[in-house]
Amino acid sequence: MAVTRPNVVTTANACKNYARGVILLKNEFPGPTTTNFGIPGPATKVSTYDLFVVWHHVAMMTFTPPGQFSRNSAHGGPVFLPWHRFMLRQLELNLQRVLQDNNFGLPYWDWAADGQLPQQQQPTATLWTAEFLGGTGNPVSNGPFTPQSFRVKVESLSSAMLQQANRGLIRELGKDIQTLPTKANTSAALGATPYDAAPWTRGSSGFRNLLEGWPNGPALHNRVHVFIGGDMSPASSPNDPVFFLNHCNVDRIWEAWMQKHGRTYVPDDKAPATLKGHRLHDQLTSLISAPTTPAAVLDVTSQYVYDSLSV
Amino acid sequence: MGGRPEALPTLESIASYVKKNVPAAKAAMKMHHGDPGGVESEQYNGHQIVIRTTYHIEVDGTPLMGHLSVDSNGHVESHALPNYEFTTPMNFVKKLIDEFPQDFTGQGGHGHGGHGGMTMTGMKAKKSKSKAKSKGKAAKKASKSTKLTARKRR
Repeated sequence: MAVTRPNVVTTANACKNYARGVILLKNEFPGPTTTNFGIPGPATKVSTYDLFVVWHHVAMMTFTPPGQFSRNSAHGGPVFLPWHRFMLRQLELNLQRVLQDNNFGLPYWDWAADGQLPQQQQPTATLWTAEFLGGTGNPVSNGPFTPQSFRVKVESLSSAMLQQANRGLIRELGKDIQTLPTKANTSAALGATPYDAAPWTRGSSGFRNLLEGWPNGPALHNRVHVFIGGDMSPASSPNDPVFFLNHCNVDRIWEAWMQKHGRTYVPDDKAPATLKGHRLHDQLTSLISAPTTPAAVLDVTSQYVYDSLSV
Repeated sequence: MGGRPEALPTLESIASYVKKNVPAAKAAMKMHHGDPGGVESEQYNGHQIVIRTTYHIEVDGTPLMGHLSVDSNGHVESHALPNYEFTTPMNFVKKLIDEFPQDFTGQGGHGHGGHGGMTMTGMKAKKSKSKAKSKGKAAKKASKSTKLTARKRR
């Protein structure tokens, strides 16, 4: 039976359950160590949650095709939306497991709703209060992810390589960019067609690139990362649990787009090998589960639905 | 995913898949040495245009390694800050110094965690006055040594 993904701000206990599950995943260790991934230093066990941080980093460092650094196996190309859908679902299944709740649905953060608020209110909106995710800080000092309960254990360097760490979470709300995307931005994205287009890059026209946020950027998804800052800035951005709430909303917008325009995806399997990793039946980069393909994630309504597709 | 029923993961299944996927993961995360740069390629009126760009960037005399790409508008992107786009490489380097102050302490190569081994970092240090001073110095150095070589191929 499909679970329902709720609005994290307006649904009672959605954020509390999510935060509780994240802490549980931070404190379980399936066995892999930092040494397994070639991360320097002593062999330190990597938590289930931190495997998602490593996975995101690996996907980002898997260049498609090799020899260029703009398009990778999760960003800057058509697979941006399917790959993150795959990742979110794996997190959702793991949260169901540790929460012992098969009806748990990953919550989304409707950031464009906060983008409608006056600029000065956006960094102090409900999501950033102690009852939800806590606020800005180095380290974040209120809410469920203070250094006493939540520590960043792997992080990206300036070279984008991973290293071990042991510190609190950092957020710099509104430092680099002061406002979130607005409802006008999400409405414009919903109207964009086709799904993607040649040259299948950060310079493409179409829905995917608009939602990823490259044209006139940082926009939409990218703008949310930049607005939050701190640990949401580098390649290890899943370190901040808000990462998944941002991407769940991105996934919701994609679902709304497919309801409007059909469950279509390009490029198809006839596209050249330079697009390997982005074609309809190519395998998505996986780490903690069996792989899947863009084709397999186009219709997920048997697994989950959203409580609203009004974006 | 898709229409097939999904079993909940277990600690054992996670460990098993990680073991299977780790060779590819390690290969992907391998440091790519060399000057940062990018390749921009497009088909145009039946012609294949390839623009290769290489930057040689130094901060405090130490070469900056890592991935950096340059799009057809000359904008700079990097996996170090994957959601940003910079109008100039100088702005990119300044932002790197701001975001990763611990990588620019003058001990070892930038982003390598030091050539002698890993640097374990504690809390990210707030930028101090002396850090701000060194930022100015570093930016100046980068300005002097940054060069662009673009080559067009038929």
